[in-house]
Amino acid sequence: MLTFTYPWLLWGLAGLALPVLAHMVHRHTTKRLSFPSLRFIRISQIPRKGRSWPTDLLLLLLRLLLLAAAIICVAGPRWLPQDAIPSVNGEETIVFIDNSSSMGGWGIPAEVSDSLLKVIQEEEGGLGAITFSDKTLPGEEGFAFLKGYDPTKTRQFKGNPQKAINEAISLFSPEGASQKLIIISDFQSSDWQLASAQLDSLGIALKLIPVGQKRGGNISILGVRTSPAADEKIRIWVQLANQTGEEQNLKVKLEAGSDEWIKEIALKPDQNGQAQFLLPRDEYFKAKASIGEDVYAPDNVYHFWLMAPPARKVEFFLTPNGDKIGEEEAFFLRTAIISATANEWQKYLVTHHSFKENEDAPDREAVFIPGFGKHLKKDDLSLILDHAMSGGKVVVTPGSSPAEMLSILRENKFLEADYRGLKESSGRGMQPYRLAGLPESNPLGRLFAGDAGKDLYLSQVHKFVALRPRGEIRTILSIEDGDPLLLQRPLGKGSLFLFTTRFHGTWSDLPLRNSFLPLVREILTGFGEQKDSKWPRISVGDTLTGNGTEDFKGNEPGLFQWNDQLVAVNTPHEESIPDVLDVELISESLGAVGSLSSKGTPISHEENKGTPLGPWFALLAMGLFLAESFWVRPRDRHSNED
Amino acid sequence: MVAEGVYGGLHKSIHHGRGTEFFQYRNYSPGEDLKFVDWKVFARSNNLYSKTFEEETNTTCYLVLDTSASMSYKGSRSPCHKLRYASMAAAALAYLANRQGDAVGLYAYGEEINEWIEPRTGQDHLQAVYHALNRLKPEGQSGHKNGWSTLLNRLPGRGIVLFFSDMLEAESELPELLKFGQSIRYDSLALQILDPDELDLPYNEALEFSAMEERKFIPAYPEAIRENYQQRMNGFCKKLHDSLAGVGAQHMRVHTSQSLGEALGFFLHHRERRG
Repeated sequence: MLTFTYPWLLWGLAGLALPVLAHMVHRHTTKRLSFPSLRFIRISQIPRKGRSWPTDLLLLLLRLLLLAAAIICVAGPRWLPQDAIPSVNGEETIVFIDNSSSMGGWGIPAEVSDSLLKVIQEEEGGLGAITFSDKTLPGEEGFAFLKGYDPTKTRQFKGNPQKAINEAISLFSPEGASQKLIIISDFQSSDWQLASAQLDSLGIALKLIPVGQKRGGNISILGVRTSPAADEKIRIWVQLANQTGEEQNLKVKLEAGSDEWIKEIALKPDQNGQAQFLLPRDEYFKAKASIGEDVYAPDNVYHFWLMAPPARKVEFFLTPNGDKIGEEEAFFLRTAIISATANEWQKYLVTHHSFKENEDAPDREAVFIPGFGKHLKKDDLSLILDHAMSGGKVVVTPGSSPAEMLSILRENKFLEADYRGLKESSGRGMQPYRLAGLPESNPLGRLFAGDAGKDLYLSQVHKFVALRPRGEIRTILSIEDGDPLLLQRPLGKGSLFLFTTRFHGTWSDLPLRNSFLPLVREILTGFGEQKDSKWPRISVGDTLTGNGTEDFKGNEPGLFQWNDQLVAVNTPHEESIPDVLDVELISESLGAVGSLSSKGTPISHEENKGTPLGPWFALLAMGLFLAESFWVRPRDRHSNED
Repeated sequence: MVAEGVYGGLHKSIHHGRGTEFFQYRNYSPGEDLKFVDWKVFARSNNLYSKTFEEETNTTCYLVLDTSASMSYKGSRSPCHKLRYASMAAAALAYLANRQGDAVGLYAYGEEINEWIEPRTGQDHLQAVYHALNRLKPEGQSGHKNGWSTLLNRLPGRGIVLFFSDMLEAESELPELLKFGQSIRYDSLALQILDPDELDLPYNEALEFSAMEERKFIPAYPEAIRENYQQRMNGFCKKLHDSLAGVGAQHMRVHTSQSLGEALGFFLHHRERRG
């Protein structure tokens, strides 16, 4: 169907009468002939048939078409697909029904039913409808939708009024003489506080029908936190909110497998609290916390997984052509990682980099490179740098050529340090080097404070690469005489850790010390700053984006498996908030200042819908103009001139 | 060329005999009258030469042309406009008159006098007349009264006046002006030149007629007025003819789609019959 950006310009089509009138007038204006004497020529009534020959009618038609094409061209014609065209009868009303999760509570559905009935009875013209999940154009379809709308079947997602209002505006047809937007909503503050529009400038009248305004408080489960506890247990905290203004004694029920536990908790007015449960670890996989029914049911249940968090991956870049020291280092490190986290809730998975092209492991936590050397190609280094920049950790020990290692690190912007030679204990009567004490400011200072540090300080270093770091590099461990033993260079969101010695008997006995395990663990966890990984928890309506796989959309509350992820979907807690916004405020935000049902002058509010046809009409007008010019070109006529 | 195909002259010569002005010598041919032999030359050169004499003018022929704007009309059936046609006819008659030994003068007027060439004989003069005819352009209103008044004051004692005009709207005025034809000394011939369109109004479409000599417009549908027009036009022509005949002027109507030779032949034949 043809629509127009500036439909009022179509009034210009009335100008089509001009060429018709001109033609009619022209019918009486005959060709002039110079004649020697008019003495015997009488004025006569010129018969109508004198100008009604086909050429003139065709020329008139041509001119009418030219004018019409030009007017239509400036009116901004657009082609809308048939299914996008509402039935227009002059008046259009779009009813926006908030069907977010909160609209299912506080007795709102009954109010919505009453309001809808009134709207259907009172409003004239085409009725269209939009919710957060559906939309219909004004017309019979919209009317049927509103008549059959069931307010109790709300969707448990968070509302996005801004998007819905924009879509509602686009539902109005440009030809609509009168346009009105009716919004039936609880105007919950969490949904509506950022909604805005310029309805008055678009000529759209606004009517707000608030429902559920006299709502009472709400008791809700805000979320659930899980944490490993001693004795192979897992601790579960169910977080609760009392927004009723009255003290509430709640029974919190936890269901896992076929078992259930109930805890009673007293919550003071407008306060949060938590109920704690202790369950055996690794015995249950799924769980559900719930409280008794209240005015808003969806937030009385919370689903969550009781599985251990997904294992973090650690990848080793070993020398492909066989580096015995490197392999031994990898053994020590791998053993340390597995041992250090054996009893942890958070597990680690060790893998080896294959050095094959296009191999990528974006979810790895740390990269270990024992014996850093020139076996790492440009692509490998780029991959490692990207890993560090995106938050990963890179742990490096020197290879057979420390100078070459420093050169590569410098060239690839890992770190800059001056090489000062290889220091060996053989050069000082086989006296091993010892580690310097750790100040409190050191990230390992607290871990190795007191007796806990004795084992670390007894470590013997027989050989290490002496170097002087430059730039933003932190020394984590150092030799007694000040030479660094472990450097940390921040790279983007991650870090590079460079050991100047190796985890091999000819270099040091570090991997044999008890302090090696906590040292490796601290590096892996970012000195304790990194929290355990978690299975994704999303709200209804949210989407998880997969890496090359289909996205996961949380359509309803529950527990789901998606790829290798365990996903928990719950009602968005924003919908539990009982606070609502004042309708006057909403009215102002939507551009209906001073009135709840302002009515402006209808103008076209094109969202550039449809395919623009202006250029085609311009071409048509040009073609018609050329044809008209050709038609009326000077031709040989009866002449009395010599 | 047109004139060669028609009759030998416009009139019967009043004065008989050969000219008296010596023109040239030529070799004597046996049988020639010996009185034309120049014996003095024979005495000097022993050759016989006959003297030839230029013939003297018999009469004076005035070509009078109306150059008003109405003479510019050219219908679809005519090869040229009326003034052009009149010029060609005048040129042909000038040629005949010149060949006949008559002096030819030219007088053309519209609102004012456009050309005035005193009557003379000879080829050079004839060329001058041709050039003047070629220069004529139809413009302005017809000023018969002024034109003829000027001409009549300058006419010599005798001669022939050949008047070329469409004579439109002048059926009352012209006979008065051409009264001089009643004099035995003058022979006046009025050649009315019309375009055939002016006679039958052949147009099929509605037209706004614009007068050529004044700012006047009349919308008309020719089919509706044709019959009336033709009647009135014929009435006008007849009245003009009768009026001119009444003052002793010969009137003849030609139209521009006619062959010029045919028209001249018809004219001269008609004149010869009149004697």
